[in-house]
Amino acid sequence: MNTINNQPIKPNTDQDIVQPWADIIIGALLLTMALTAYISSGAFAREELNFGPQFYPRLLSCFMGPLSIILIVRGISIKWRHHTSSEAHIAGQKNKRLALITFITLALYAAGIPVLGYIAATLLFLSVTIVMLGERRPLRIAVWTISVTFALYFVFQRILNVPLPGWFGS
Amino acid sequence: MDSIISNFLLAFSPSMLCLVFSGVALGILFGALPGLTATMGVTLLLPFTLSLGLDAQSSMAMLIGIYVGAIYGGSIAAILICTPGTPAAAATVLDGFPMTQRGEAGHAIALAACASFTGGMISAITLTLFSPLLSSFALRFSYPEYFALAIFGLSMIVTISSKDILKGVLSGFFGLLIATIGLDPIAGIPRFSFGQPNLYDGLGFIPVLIGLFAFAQVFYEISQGWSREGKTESPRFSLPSWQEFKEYKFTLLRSGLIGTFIGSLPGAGCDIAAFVSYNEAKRIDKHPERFGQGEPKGIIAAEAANNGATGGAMIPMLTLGVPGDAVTAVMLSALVVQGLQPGPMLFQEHPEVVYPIFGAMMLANIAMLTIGLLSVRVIARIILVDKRVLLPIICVLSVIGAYALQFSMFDVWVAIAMGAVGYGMKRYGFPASPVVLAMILGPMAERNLRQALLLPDANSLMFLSRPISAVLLILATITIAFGFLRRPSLNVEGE
Repeated sequence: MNTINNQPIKPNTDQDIVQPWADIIIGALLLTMALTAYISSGAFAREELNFGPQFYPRLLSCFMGPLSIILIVRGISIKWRHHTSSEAHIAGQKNKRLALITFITLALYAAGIPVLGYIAATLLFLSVTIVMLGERRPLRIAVWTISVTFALYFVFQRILNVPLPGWFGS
Repeated sequence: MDSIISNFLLAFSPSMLCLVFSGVALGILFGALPGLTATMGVTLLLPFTLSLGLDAQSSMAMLIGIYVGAIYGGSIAAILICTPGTPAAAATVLDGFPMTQRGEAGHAIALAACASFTGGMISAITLTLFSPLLSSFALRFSYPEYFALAIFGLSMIVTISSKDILKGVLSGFFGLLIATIGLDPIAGIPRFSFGQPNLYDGLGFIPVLIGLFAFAQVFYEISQGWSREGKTESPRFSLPSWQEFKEYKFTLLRSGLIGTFIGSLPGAGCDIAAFVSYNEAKRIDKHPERFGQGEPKGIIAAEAANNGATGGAMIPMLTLGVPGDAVTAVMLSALVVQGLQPGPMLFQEHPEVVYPIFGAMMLANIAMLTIGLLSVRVIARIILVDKRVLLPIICVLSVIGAYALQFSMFDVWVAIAMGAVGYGMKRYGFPASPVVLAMILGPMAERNLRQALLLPDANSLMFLSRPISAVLLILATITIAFGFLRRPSLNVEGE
């Protein structure tokens, strides 16, 4: 194993690794984006103008489309040449699900702020997320949740004059 | 000349002192916490400098303080827990953590603070002396030159995407395309707004930054799992001796200059500067085998260069309106929000803004050294905050940061959506920096390309027949070629 000062070098994280299926799917998404931009730029095109509003997005699409195709082809080629397994994914599935749940909780928090107000929504979000990420001691959860919520409210609302929604929305 | 000096000295007024010192303190905090970057610190604090009603120079002074503090702060986590607090401190890990393992953590942090101060001061002096020269040169720029400059800046995408150039370039095109959302800069016609009035002004740059850096980092940290290994005691502290300074003086000077030069290149930031300087120090040293084993010169080279890059990055931002890195990209938007257009005319039209910025840069480095040396024990404890608590707090701070600029929940949704995009990019090896670079330089490229093509003497060779644009395009070509030559081989999953 490679080492630095007898310390093992950390293995590559998944971001360092080419994942053929992901490249194929993302390449397809980017190709769709390029095609959509090219086609929908017709809606605001002013053909009577030289180099009108449609010119630049279409120019970008003309570069982005072929590059996306290269990404797809490269992904297919790697997939074809190398036997890849899905084992690497399985180990991290639990954490990835947790990241997805955090994302959903964050979206619910953003949706809840205008309805519940900043303070109630933040108290709920912080307590739920801290528990979700593995903290189980009630006193610790309560202290962090309440102190952070009110400290931020005081700093931003009172000192920095950022009009955060109040207790029940404002 | 008198007005230049009096404007310069504005930075040393009591109110500016308070702003710079508080900015540096916050910056060190942001830098020292893994996951919180200088970019995030400046991005989160920008709306609040605006809501405080600070004028342009005061707002910039505080942001510079955060920038300088965060770049130094990144070294604390790198030295103590083998985790770079910011990407700029990645090279500091190589010799910093071995010094901690030898029980020299306090000395390593003191060396980092002193090297950061020296590198920062070299760059601040260079900024002060050479920015006006560069700005007078920049006055010769017209549409073709600005377009070529944008292309040169965008060519850095190849350099900063060395892991996988294709993905970096595609990230750049993604950024260029989403930067076209909103009103067309010349004809004023809405593009890709789909009837949504919130999109007439385009995607807000700050919500996009918060999404790509803060939220994406939170999701990524959670998805990778984390541990509390590496927990450490607050380090004891010892200042470097005068003998050490004499021994390291050439390393300090060379690294500060390398950092300043690399920082001044659009798109090349503190992280690249630190690695280049580290490599140079190792290449030149009589005992290169000591590097990576806890060699103090390794820390000095990396830290003098990454803080040297802070002043360097300000040069193109102020003189050309092109950000040197992601942090100065946010600072650029701070000036624009204040109604100022960075570029050649800024020096003529707003000397009362420019020269205090130079002074603030020097002051920030003095503040960084002072606070840095005094705060090691406290900072080391904050690093130990449990991520189960820290990550939700980052989420709340980011939501408020996205909301606070325009008091808009739409911006919060943009930030969350970009967080998901940023996570996906990080997860599958698409770098986020090209998106940021493209969002900054895209509108500049489009506006100047279209206006250049509308000039009466426009022709297909126009960009190559004008000396400045030709040189910039040649430099862009060399940068791209250099990036391709240095690219590593790809790791394939399952091999």
